[in-house]
Amino acid sequence: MTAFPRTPVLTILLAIAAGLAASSAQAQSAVSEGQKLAFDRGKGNCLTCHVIKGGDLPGTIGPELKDLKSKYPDRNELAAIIFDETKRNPQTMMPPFGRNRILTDQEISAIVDFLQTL
Amino acid sequence: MKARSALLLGSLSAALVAFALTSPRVVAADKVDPVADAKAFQNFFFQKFPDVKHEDFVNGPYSMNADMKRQWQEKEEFPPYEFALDAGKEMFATPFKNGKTYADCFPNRGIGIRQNYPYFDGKEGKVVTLELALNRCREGNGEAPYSYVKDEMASLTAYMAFTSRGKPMDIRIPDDPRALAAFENGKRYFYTRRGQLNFSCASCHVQSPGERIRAEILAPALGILNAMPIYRSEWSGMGTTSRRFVTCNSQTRAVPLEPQADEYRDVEYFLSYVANGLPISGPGARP
Repeated sequence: MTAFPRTPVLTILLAIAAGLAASSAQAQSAVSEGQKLAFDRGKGNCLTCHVIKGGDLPGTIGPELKDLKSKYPDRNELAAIIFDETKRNPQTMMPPFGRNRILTDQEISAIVDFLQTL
Repeated sequence: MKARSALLLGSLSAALVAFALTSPRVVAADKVDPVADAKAFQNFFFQKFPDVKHEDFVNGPYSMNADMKRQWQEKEEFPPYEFALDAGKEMFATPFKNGKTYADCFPNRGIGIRQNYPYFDGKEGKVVTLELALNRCREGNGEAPYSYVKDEMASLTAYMAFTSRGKPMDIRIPDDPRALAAFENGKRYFYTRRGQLNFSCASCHVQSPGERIRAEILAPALGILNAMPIYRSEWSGMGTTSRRFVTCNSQTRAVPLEPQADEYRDVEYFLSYVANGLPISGPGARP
């Protein structure tokens, strides 16, 4: 009976802890999903043109993908480049992944999550 | 009344003729200058790759990378296109059912003439490629045409290229507004972005030759057709110029045209003309 009043507090604490764990697991899975997309030949295929840590036989057309969090503190900027880089640079070879529906917004977001870990 | 309508008709047709005569010429004089285009095209590559010998551009990715070039030269001792070449030689010499041969359809009996294709045919008013001429030769002699992309067509063109090796590409653009229009149309096709990946032919082969996409080295556009047809390891077999165009389109997720569609004939005309002076190196081998 004395423990009863504590239960809601404990439940809430447990729920918060579980929630935190879940959201960190979610972030982790977005990063690994992003990596998968970045290396997949049919999807992001970033590796075809960019050197990326952890990827074999990278291409040489684009710049190496590293230190992106410091280069692009605003993740929206990175997402915009993936969505349609021809807006910033009409001469770019980079395919407009969002505009031409090669990737969904969710997939672009997962790739941004991954790129920010590099 | 009758006289008036005849007069009207006459002046109308005179106006039409005048229009037909002048308007393409005006366009040609103002804009289309194949000589200047070819010079600029070649200079771009010569300046971008000052260490590559000019005649070496016809060897595609091997001109861009010393390691690959060494491996290729070793491979050339037992070239993978040899079967196709032998088959092509035999086919070329074998008479059709009517007793005629391919030699009867071509200048110089088909030997050492690869460098003159494609040419602009004044009668048809269009570009005629070697592949097209071969199938027309077959059909003119009562034989069924071959597939444009590989097998027999690649064997025949391999043999015809082989007998022309080392001869400088020699494409003519006659003083005919339709020929200039074909050249211009080919140039436009070459530089236009298309497909889901939004690439033009030039994105890879002018902007990025020598760069790698994964393990593959992009070939320079200059002289790229001089090596046709090619054995590609990626295809596990031979492919013609038609096959190269179709697969380039589908790899960039564009909708390929039918082989020998007007645009493909025109882009072959453009690309061959700007490679004038560079030697025929076909048949080639590529990764």
